[in-house]
Amino acid sequence: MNTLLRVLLPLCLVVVAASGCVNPNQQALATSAESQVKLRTMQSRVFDTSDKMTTMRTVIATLQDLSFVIDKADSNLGTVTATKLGGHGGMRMTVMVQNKGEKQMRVRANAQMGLKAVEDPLPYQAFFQSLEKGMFLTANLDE
Amino acid sequence: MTCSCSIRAVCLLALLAMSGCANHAQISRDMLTLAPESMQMRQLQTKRYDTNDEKMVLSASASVLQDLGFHLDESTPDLGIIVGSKTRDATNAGQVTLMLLAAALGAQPQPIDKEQTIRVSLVTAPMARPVETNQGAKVQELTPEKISATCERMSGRLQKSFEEELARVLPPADAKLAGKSLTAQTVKTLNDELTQRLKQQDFGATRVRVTFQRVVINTHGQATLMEALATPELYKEFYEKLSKSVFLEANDI
Repeated sequence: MNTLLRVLLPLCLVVVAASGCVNPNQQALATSAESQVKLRTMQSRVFDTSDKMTTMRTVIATLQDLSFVIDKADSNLGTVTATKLGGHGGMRMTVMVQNKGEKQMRVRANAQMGLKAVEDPLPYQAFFQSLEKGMFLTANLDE
Repeated sequence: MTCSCSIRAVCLLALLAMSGCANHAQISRDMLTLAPESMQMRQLQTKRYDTNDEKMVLSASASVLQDLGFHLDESTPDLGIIVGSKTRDATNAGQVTLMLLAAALGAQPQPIDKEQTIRVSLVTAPMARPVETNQGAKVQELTPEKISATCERMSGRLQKSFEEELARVLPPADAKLAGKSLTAQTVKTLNDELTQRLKQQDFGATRVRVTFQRVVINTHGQATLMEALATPELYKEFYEKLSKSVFLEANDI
């Protein structure tokens, strides 16, 4: 009995740990584990340019350099959606370019890999580093 | 003894389960980092046409895609994007034979590849035509940012020199005022001149970048293969066709 308990208890722990990974509650309106503000901050950068079209074209070129295939783009809304095939269910990304004041552009990226949203700051940091090279401008954090 | 063994096994399982989480971030980070071979892919997938008529190149591209049997799914001309797809047969004799053989031996029929969707995404963009210089010097590309920086620097220097020279012949207050207006005029002329050059330079050529990918679906409706097509011959052949089409379109044939 005692032995059985000692095996079952860690087993329960595993189930709990693993269930933290796959959240069954990911429905349409389910917000992520991260706070909304924190999420926005890590997904956004600000560039010192007023040229929306060039910014969008650079976003498209950067996505292509990262082996993404462009699915859709809308210059009025400033959105670009792209897909990258590959292991782990591939990656899908939506990038939005908006005016921030008169002299700046805010770029926000959203990614999902497989069936999970990417909510770690490092992947976004890598993306904006690639974008910086194409823009010839520094990506500033959106304060 | 057996007990500690099973606890160890369970701990190992727990570690594995949780490493799945950390892995997700790591892999997605790798997917968003520029790979060293990305330059090579860019060269393979890109071609430059010496025309400033981006719309013409886009419409020539749409014609080629139609020649190749693609249906156009999306197009955004102001950003130079066309997305198309076609669905084709993907059954191969080898798989069918294996399936029949297995079925004859009494096994459950296995799903085989049935059809494939080939997607194409094409993006055009205006680009500067490289100007040949006699000295073979590296060509400096003009950008709006560079122009405003130059004007700002010149403005400071001009104002200073104008004031210095005018102060010899005019009262100080007048010299300052005259210097200011002269500087503003000169900087405006400089700005106009450079902007004019930027416009001439920027609309020299158009580049086209195309990407193909395919998804194979089996008889059970599952995707068995998703891949980007990276064969150099494929892109070479596409651009041969596009070059012809651009020529035809440009000459209105």
